[in-house]
Amino acid sequence: MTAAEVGLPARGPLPASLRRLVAWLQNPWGRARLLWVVALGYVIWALVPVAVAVLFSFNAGRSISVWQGFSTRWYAGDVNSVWQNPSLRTALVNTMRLAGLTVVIAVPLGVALAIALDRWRGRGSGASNFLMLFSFVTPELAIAIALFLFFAQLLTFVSLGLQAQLLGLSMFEIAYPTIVVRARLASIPRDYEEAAMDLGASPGQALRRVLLPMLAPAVFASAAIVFATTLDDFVIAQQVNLNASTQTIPILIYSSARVGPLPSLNALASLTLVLSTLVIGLAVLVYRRSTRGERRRGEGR
Amino acid sequence: MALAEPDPATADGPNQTVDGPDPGPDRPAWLPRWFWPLLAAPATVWLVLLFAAPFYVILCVAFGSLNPIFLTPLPQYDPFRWQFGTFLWVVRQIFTNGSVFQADFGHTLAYVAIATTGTLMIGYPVAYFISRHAGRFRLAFLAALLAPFWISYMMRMLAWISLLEPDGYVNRILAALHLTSSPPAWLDGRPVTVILGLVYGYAPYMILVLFGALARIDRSLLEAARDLGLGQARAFWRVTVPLTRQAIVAGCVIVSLPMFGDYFTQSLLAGTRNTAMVGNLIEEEIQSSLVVQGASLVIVMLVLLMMPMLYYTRSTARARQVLGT
Amino acid sequence: MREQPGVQSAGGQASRRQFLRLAAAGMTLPAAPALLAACGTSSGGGTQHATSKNAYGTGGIGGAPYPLARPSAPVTWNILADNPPIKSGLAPEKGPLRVFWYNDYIYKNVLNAFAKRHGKAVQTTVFTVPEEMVSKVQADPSAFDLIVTVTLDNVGKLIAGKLIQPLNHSYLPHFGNLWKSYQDPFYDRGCRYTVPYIVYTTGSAWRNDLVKANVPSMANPYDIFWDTRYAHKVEVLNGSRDLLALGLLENRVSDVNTNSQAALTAATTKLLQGVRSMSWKFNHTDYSELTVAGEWYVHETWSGQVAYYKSYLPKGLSIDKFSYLWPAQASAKRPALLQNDVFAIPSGARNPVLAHALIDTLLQESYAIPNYGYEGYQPPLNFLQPDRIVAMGLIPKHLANIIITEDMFPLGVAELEMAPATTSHYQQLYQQVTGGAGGA
Repeated sequence: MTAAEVGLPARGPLPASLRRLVAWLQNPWGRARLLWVVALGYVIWALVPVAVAVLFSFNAGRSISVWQGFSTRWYAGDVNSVWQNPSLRTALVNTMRLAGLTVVIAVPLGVALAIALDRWRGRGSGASNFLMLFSFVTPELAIAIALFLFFAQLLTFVSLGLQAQLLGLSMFEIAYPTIVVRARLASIPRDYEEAAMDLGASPGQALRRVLLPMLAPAVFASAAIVFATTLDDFVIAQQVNLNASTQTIPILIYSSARVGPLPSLNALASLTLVLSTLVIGLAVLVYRRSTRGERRRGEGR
Repeated sequence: MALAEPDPATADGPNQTVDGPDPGPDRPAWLPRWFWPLLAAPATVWLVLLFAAPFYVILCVAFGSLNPIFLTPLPQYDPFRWQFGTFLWVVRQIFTNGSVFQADFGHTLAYVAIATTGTLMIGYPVAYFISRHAGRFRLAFLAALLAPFWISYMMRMLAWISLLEPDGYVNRILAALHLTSSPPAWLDGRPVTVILGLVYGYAPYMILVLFGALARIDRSLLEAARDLGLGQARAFWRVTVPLTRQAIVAGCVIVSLPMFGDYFTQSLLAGTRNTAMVGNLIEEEIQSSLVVQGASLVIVMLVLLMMPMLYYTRSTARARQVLGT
Repeated sequence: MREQPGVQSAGGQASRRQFLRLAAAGMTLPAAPALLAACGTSSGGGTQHATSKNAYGTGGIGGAPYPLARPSAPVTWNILADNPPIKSGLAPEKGPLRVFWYNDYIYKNVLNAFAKRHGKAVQTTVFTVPEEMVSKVQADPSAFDLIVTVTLDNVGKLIAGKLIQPLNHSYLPHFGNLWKSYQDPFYDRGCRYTVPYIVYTTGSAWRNDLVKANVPSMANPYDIFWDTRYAHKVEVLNGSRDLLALGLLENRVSDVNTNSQAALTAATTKLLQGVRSMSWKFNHTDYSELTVAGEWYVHETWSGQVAYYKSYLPKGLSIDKFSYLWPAQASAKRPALLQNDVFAIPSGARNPVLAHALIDTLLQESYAIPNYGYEGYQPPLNFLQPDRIVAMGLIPKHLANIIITEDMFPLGVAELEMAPATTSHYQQLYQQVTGGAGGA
């Protein structure tokens, strides 16, 4: 296909290679080649830097921008490695602990709220709903500052660090389980609970033994989402942080990234990347497996 | 699918008894009235305690005073004793030429506007592609699209810092392609780097929103447009884009709201006064004797963003109504 | 709000001060304060000298509820009835000793040796900036046993707030190892509440292979920070006091505690011009940004930081590519910062005897020298003379000018405690210059 055949105006000195490229892109029979290029370009742009960051965690030298050979010293072996450097280990432990505890608090609260909002038609439901959504849209910095002043000025018995981070994040994360579970509830009619109650179950029993098992995949998915997003939370965790002994991995990366960063930072980030991917992957698997029946039944593409 | 949401104001009339037979369609007769509110209570209390109350404290700090010796904040919890002097001064400063408040607000507005447009320019083609042309690779592309949501933001920024270092790969590629004689120092305080960082960080949100809308467009509409003689490009501009107009607005809101409070992207990728954003200003002031100003700035920021925030909240609630949940 | 002149001091002090003021008039530094004791040579120069009586102490100048110490107006802090020192002859507590410190401010090996010798554990908590330290101690004066360290501009408010306790020198037998001038400093006569830990100068470090200017012979050595040939490659210290001091000193104002509107406006204007034309970064992490290509060419820094460089050099970069200058030692002999940090014991400390013991440990030769070798910041102790320091290989010869000696005091100025309104004003100006980019 030449440029003339696809109607490209005869222009002056376009280099031959460029003309061929434009012709290839503009081929009306080809399937949106330009879009393919753009989309692939985006995916590469979005993910390759992360791959490079993971790559540099295996750098043999101390640089995070110049490759100096392969080594696992930054995971274990070097005195500054994730395994041996106490502040890196502490950050890892803090992050996991914070994420785990946040899931334990935020998910039950969120699931309960989701069920209530879905089934409740009373006056207060709008207010609860609004509050939850508003906590989702407010810029995190504003929330973080509010929490910091709240704990530093009013509720001074709450110490900065893990306690304040946990309280703040468990509030901030309520919106995720609520939204996810509520979306799932949309496709679960109330017939099941009503049938159970017709058969003599109390409302609590109906919820516990009929509805919740049906919601289990969504609950699990939302737990995974809360875990992954808390692992990664920076703004709130940093504002109510106490000092190096309570810092989380994002805080550590932030404070070290421009101050002589070592590949051990990349190693730490890679570890959390693997963890998040596993958690999310597991949740996706569980979700798809449990809703497999429904998909087969009616929602096939 | 459930019925459209009845008007909450009239669902519970004043004549209902607590445990008697319930004529309303919303709950069976044996369900006590307090059941759903009780279920919602823990989360609501948690939100009131840790979301609403702290914002009241911000107000009390912004309209309070300072300890004269230690210059630590003395929040004023009685609204009748609030003092607005510092708050009004901060607002005036924003409109004063040359003040640091105006400078930082200027940077922020510019970066957010440009970066939001950037995410739209990049995001629309990608979302369009995934919804229309990806074919059997659709799931793979979706996974790639969603990946940044669980990859730590800090890690993504760290990745770019390593690439943008003077001896990093970006400069090496530029030098290899002979595109520039002296590779620029990307990290020494350039707005371009900050904007690129913002676009990189928030593009996935825009793409997701656009994809959601584009995937839902009824193909028959496009076929009709084709039947009526519109070429591919004109079908796009006159049918597809208008149908996604609301999603475009929603995407812009979803992306620009967090960008306004972003301070860490600038700190990591630039870190100079010439690129400082409002978030940097607030963050620095809160830890110093200027905490009253910092709290005032937070209030100004929220007032400024109140319209988009309410719009976002309402449109989410309304979307749920439209979907019938 | 101008600082109010106080009452004339008594007798012999006044005549000596007047004599020295006349002598100082001939110097190029009309207001050069010094950090020397009254029985040493207190060169005056300031127009205020006061021995106003105040509940918290005698001396100092006004402007705050408590006296503000100045070299020309030294302060003797009162021992208050409700904040007495501990009694003598007590046995050490059982610990653990809780140290509140800048990260890694004492050599770990020294802390371990101390812990072993006394059989008690040592716990450390980190703070990053003085404001954080003040607010944490204010929140709970019993949370820590020793503060490492307090800057001079916070001593007064901690004493007035009864947040630190008077010391009992019977627990400090090695106190005499300190330089004479530091045993009775102007900011705490008799060292009643504080003991000096380290002394340092603030100057410029630069890559002598990348910077063409001959910095030591410049007419105004501070101009190097404004040299547009090195735009984007110059970094200055963050912190409201240090940055404002830079602006003031560049403009030949040597009172870095001034609240003269004219001086501060001129300083801020000069700093804003520097920000615009040089695109400064604000930090004190110069030692971690050493690259062969030179991430920075010029860095405002403290003398102790320069001592760290050798531990952070990347391959291919040698220490002799770095030079340091204290502007008061340049040919132009401009006033420059020379300051010290001090130990203090919180008033609610549960292990004060142990705290005194740790202070005393760091005044002893066998601990102070290894500590200095690791920390790089110099303690003002008699057994540490420049020749010895260089001979021990702690500092390379060409950087020996980071070593401080007592005769440097007349040339130095210090950032001292100011009236709260002035402190806030400085922070306001700092924010104006950094726009929020000056965070730690």
